[in-house]
Order: sequence, then structure tokens, then C-alpha cells
Amino acid sequence: MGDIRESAAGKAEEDLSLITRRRFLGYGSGLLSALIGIALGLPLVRFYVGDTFKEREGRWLRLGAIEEVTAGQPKLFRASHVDRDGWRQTARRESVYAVTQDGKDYVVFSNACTHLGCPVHWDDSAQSFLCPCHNGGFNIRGEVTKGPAPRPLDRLEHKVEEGTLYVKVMGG
Amino acid sequence: MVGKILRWIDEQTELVTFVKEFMEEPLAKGVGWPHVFGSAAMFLFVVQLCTGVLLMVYYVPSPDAAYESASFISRELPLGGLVRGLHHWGASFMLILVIIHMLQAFFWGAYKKPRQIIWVIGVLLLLVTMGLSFTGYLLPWDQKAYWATVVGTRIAGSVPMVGHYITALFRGGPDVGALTLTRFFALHVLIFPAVLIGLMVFHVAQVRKKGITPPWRRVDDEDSVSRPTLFYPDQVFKDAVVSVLLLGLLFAVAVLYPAHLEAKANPAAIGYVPRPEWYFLPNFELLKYVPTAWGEWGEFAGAAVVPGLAVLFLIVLPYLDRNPERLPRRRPLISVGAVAALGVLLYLGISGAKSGPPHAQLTPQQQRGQKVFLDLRCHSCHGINGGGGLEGQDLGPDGPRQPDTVAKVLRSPTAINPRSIMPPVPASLTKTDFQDLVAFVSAIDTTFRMPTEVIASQPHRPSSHQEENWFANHKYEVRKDPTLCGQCHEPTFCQSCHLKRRPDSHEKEWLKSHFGTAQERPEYCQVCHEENYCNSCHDRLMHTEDWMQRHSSASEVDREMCQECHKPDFCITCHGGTKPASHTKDWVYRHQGAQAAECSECHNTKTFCTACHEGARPESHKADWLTQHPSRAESKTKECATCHRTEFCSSCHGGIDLPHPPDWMLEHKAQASFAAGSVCFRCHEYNETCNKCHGAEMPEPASDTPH
Ligand code: FES
Repeated sequence: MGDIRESAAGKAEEDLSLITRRRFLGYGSGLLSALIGIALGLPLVRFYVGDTFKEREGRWLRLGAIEEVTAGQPKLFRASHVDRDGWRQTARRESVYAVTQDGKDYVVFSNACTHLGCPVHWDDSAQSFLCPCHNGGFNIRGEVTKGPAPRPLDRLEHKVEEGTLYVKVMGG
Repeated sequence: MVGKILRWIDEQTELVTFVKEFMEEPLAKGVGWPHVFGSAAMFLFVVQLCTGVLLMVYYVPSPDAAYESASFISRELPLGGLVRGLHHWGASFMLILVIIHMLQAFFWGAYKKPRQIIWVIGVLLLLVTMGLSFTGYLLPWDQKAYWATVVGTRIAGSVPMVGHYITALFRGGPDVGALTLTRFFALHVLIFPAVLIGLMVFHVAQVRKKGITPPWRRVDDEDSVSRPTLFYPDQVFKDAVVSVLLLGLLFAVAVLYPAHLEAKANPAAIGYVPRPEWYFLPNFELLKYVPTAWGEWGEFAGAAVVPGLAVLFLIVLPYLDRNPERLPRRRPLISVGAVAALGVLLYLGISGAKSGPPHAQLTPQQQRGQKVFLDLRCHSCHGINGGGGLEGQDLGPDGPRQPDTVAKVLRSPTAINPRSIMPPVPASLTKTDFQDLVAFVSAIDTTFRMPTEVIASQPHRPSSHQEENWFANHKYEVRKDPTLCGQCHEPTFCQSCHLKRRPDSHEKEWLKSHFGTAQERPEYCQVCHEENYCNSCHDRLMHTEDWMQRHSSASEVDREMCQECHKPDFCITCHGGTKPASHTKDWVYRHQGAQAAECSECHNTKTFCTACHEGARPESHKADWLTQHPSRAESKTKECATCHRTEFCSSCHGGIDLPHPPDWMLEHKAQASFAAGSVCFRCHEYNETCNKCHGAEMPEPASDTPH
């Protein structure tokens, strides 16, 4: 470093231009580094965030023909669909009860008990959905009739198209 | 503010002073743009670190998941393809920069005293970088990765005697598999980077201590050189410019040539021809020059000894070459030697890249045939040496084939294999196209390759279908959960093959037992059959009460359907053939003598008898049949014989002249009989015919007495 200092001290003018040059290069390096940081950093951050905040779209799952559901008689449908979990695809099996009172309006209940999630089943003689786990009961409208369940059976979004009943499920 | 914080940090740690002193290295005159390569390589390593760490956020190092997660990164994550591309190409960029840096150090004589150790560390850094590339190559677990690793690790096996132990040590077992993947992963993300960082710190610290080599100065003349610039900012600025340019280039390459992902690794795809990565090409090419007569020792020499010696030479180079001169022309021997070595490496590399695996040259006819092959989408089921569909047989390994057989199979696949699901070539295919196709298909052997654009455009399978034996196993998957298939596939999808080949479940008397399945688990039927499929039989072919009456017309149309349950000779049990001993030749004529009780042992006498005795006459025998029958009987005697014997005709025609001759009215008295059952009454009504002339005075034909 010695000779640099000497030359700087010796020629003030050159010294000034040297300092300006140094400063320019210093700022330039900083600017370029920042550019690199942004160019590389932004995509990487976006990549890291990934689909974290993506709203999961539901999909319509075909249950069956509406004729299969007779008025006043809950009908159990089972259907599977693929659910995405990151790179994994898992098969999910849905069991739901479709109920109609008049053959026009339908209600689709999840068969998961609202207490702790055991599968409820329709019992004809009791005219109730019964839960095997803690003796819970729900009437045909899904309302709690006995047991510890805190709320009525969950209703699922559904639609009828060309005589076929569909229910909305999460996952791809 | 910033200054204050820095000052405080410095007070506490002296870090700022340290960095400042470190960066403000005075540089010898002439140091400048040629000296950016080391920093550039380091910059690329940092890029690799950043992208690599982020890829690890999503990547799973297991054969079950590696490919799926890599594919998820590439195809589904936002900017995933870009990040993977950066990492993929960054590896090659880094290796190239390391090599350039090394060449620069070599020709500038930077390895000489007092910087020998810096060079040695540099050689080690090159090896670790190659190790990083090699281990990283396997991680996506696609065909290319898998087979390159199989071949790469086999090289270690060329060491005589202990070779396979070394290979096994690399692979974590005798084969490339799960254990190879996990150990490569550990090497790639932890061990090698740690070693690399350690070596790099040492390398850079030594450079700082001993200074960047003053260009072209003799070893003993370094101190007199003037040092007008500082590392920061003069050189740092140059480094930054180069880094920005490199990053731009890297982005461009990553976007323009996305890191490709082939099909998932399939250890059973014997036809796949692996390609080594470019930095292994010279070594691969070298192996071709080894005389085969040398056997395993030759392979050992080509694969391990020569490269090993080369590396050793590089390491000891600074201690061998003690010439104090740095100018290349003042040390001609080593300079020319280096250029020559470089030339050899380049030559081997380029010819290796060019020659590649043995590649068939297609004749013009085969080329046209290949086009037909692709147009007909044969490749969607049939791979050629590892590229293409997995459903059909890979055409590579067993070729070439007999053109005659190929032509036969193409025209009618089931003629060779009754269970084949391959569609025959469309009838609309022109003769020349067909001949070209036959020429191409019969010529395919291990040297043929599927065009790369075809491989690249193969449909992407969902991860559930990635299993190498997915196609063979799909029937079990369907059984596991039939409704799942229906989420993506329509019944017609199943039918596209299964109309030609019944599913295994439907073999052996399926029709007899299908009812139970259909009743209890209709979803099994619904995977492949449309809703009204049942009706196609159940409307017409159910054996309900009136079935005996309907069966002949139904069996006419659906003969095949009958054979689902009934053997062909089932018909004969009624229509001829196996009859009880009593039912001999003229049984039909004698059967009226049989006892009704005896008949009912086999026959439901109510329906069976009436089937002939009331109605159930052939359609042709209409009401006016008797008057019509002479002309039919004359021209189609054979047709009559299907049901009637000659005695049947003579039962009328035997005793009486038919048609009645002109003088019949006069003569008939002699032949006609009024007896009950008389042949006259087969055609004539007593009342109408006889009474017309004879009037009421004629006796009723009640008795046997001839009139
Ligand atoms: S889970 Fe159903 S009652 Fe507890």
C-alpha cells in the first residue's frame, strides 16, 4: 500500500481523480451487487413462497344419479378423488349422505360426526344418523338429537346437473 | 447512521477493519480482467448454494419421491423450472469457470513459487466440483440420471480384483438404488459443499497472503513490481461486472433450455443408452482407444490409471516445474505440452460428443417408415430403446425382425397373439406407407433411437402412474378403488383396449357370476361400462318366460353372447344330436305313441309339446303354406330337409296323386277316405269340401268304415 499513499500525497490532483475513480468503482460494485442480489433473490423468494398462499380450489365430485335418492331416505354415496399434497397425490375417499324430502331439494351431509369425526350411519329403525363412538345422534335434517356433538352434521356444497348429483370436495 | 453501526461493530469485533484490510489488497501492475475467473467461479458457487438450498426445500431424496418431487418443482411450482434450470446449468457453468481459472493460472505461471499450495488446493477444488456435478446428476432420478450413474459408478469397478467392492461402496450396495440416492444426496448437499467451502477459504486466504501473481514476472523478481491498484474497488468492480454478465447468461440459458426431465428412472429399461455428462466425455472416448485384447486391465488403464495419473501430475506440477520464468515462451516445453494435452482433451471430448452411442443411419425408406410409425402414434405404446411408451414391448432389444412376420402382426395382431390389444394398421394406409412402416419396424435394433422431440413431448403421467410396472398392475389398482379411475378417465378409455381384450376378471364363465358384482359393487362395472350397458343384454337376452319363442331370433343376432354361457353343442341338445336312446331316427314320427308321463321326465310337456303342436312353425309356413309349398319344395328340397324327412312328403304324396290330376273328381272315390286322420283332411275341411257335392246325406266321417 505504501507506494499508493506516496503517489497520492505527491500529486494532489491525481489524488483527487483517484479518489473519484475509487468512489465510482466502489458505488458501481455496490450497485452491481445489489442488482445481482435482486435478480437472484426475487425469483428465489418467490420459489420459496411457492403455492403457500394459493387458495385451494375445490372440485366437483360425481356421486350418482338423483333417482337413487328416495325422498325421506338418506342415501350413502362413496366416491374417491385424488388430493394433491405437494408432490404427493393421495387418493381420498369421501362418504356422504344425500337426503331429499321432496325429490327437488337435496342436502348432502358429510358422514363425519361433528363431535370427534367418527363416521355416522343412517339407522332406519331409529330414523337417525347414529354415531358409534359416543352414542351421538342426528335427525334427518342433520340436527343433533342426542350425544355430545356440538353442532349439526356438516352440509357440503352440491349441485344437480342432468340428473346427476355432484358434491364439492377439496383437492385436485 | 450506518457508519455508527459499523463503528460499533468494529469496536466489538474488529470485523470491519478485518474486511477492509482484506479487501484493500494492493494489486500488481497488469492484474485485471484476466484475473476475474476465480471470483467468477466462486460467484457461481454462491449461485449454486442459493438455488441448491432452495431446491432442498422441496426435494425428497428417495426413489419413491425423488422424481415426483423434481417433477413437482419443474412443472408446478412458480418459477420452479427456472430455479432448477439455474442450478442445472450453473453446475456446468461453474465447472467451466473453474477450468478456465485453472488454465489462466497455468499460463500465467501462477502455480510457481511461492504459490504452489494454492495451485494444489485448486486442483482439489476442481475434483470436488466434479464430484458435486456427478452426485447432483443422479438426484432428479430420471432415466438419464439413473443410467449415467450406473455407468459412472461402474468405472470404479474397472480396478482389477477389488473393483466391485469400490463400486459397491460408491453405490451403497451392488446396484444403483435407494441407498445410492441417499448417499449421493448427503455427498451433494453436505459433504462436498462443506469440503469445497473449507478448501476455498484456504485457497483465498493463501491468495490474499501471497498476493495475486504479478503477470509475467520471474519468480525471483516479484518484489520490484509496482502495485498501483487495490483489490477493492478496482478488481471487485471487474468481478461484479463479470458476475452480472454471467448471471444474465445463466438466466438466458436456463430459460431458453429448461433443465429437461426424462421419464422416471426405470432399472428394467435395458434398452436405454446412457450418456455421460460432458466432462466425462474425454474419458469415455479414451476407453474406445484401449485395445480390447488388454481386457479388464485395459479398461482399468483407460478409466482410472490415465485420469488418475493426469490428476497426480497436476498436483505435483508446481514442485516439478521449478523454472522461475512465467512468460510461456520462456518455458516452451511445458507450454507446448499443455496446449497439446488440451488439444487431446478437446479432441476426445468433441469426438465423444459427436459419436455418442451407436446410432443407426436410416435409409430413405426407413425414414419414411419412421414418419408413418410416429404418425400412427405407435410410439405412444412402443418404446425404442428406452424412449417412448411403456405399455407395449420395447422394439429395440429384440430387433431386427423378419419383415414377413412384422407385416403379419401389423395387419392382424390377434392372428399371432389372440390376446393382443394392438390395433391393426388402419385399412386406409397406402401400400407404400405400409411397406415403409414394415421396413422401419423390422429394422429396429439396439442402435435405433426415438427422435428426441418425441421423447420430450411424451405426456406427463401423474405420480400414481409412475411405477415402472404400472401398466401391468393397473388391474389391481382398479380393484382397490374403482371410483378413483373415473375421476380422470371415461369408460371409453378402458374400452379402447379392452374391447379387444377382455379384462382378466371377465374370463371364465364371467357371465354366470357377473350378477353378484353388479348387484353389490356397481362402481366396479361403472369404471369401464356406460350406464346403459346392462340394457344391451338385459332388454333382449334375458331368459324370461317367453324365451323359448324368442330364442331363435335372438340367437341369430347375438350368437357370440349365447356362447358366453353355452357351448356350441348346447343347441344340438334340442336341435339334434344328444338325445335319449328312444329318440332315434324317426322319433318325430313315432313320438305320438310315447307315454305323456315318460315325456314329462325331461320335457315340460306344457310348453315343449305346444312349441310344435301349436304355432312355432317356421315363419315361411304361413296360413296358405299348403298351397304355396309345392313350388318351394321343388326348388328348395334341401331347405325342407332341415326339418322334414322324405317320409313326411310321402305321408301325403305316397298314397294320393298330388296335385290332383284333371279327372280327379271322377276318380277320387277310390283313393279318398273319410276315415278320421285321413290325409284328405290335411288340406280339406270335411264340411266345406265333401258337403259341397255330396250334400247333407253324406255320413259324418265318424267311423272307420269306408263309404
Ligand atoms: S365422535 Fe360421534 S359422538 Fe363422539
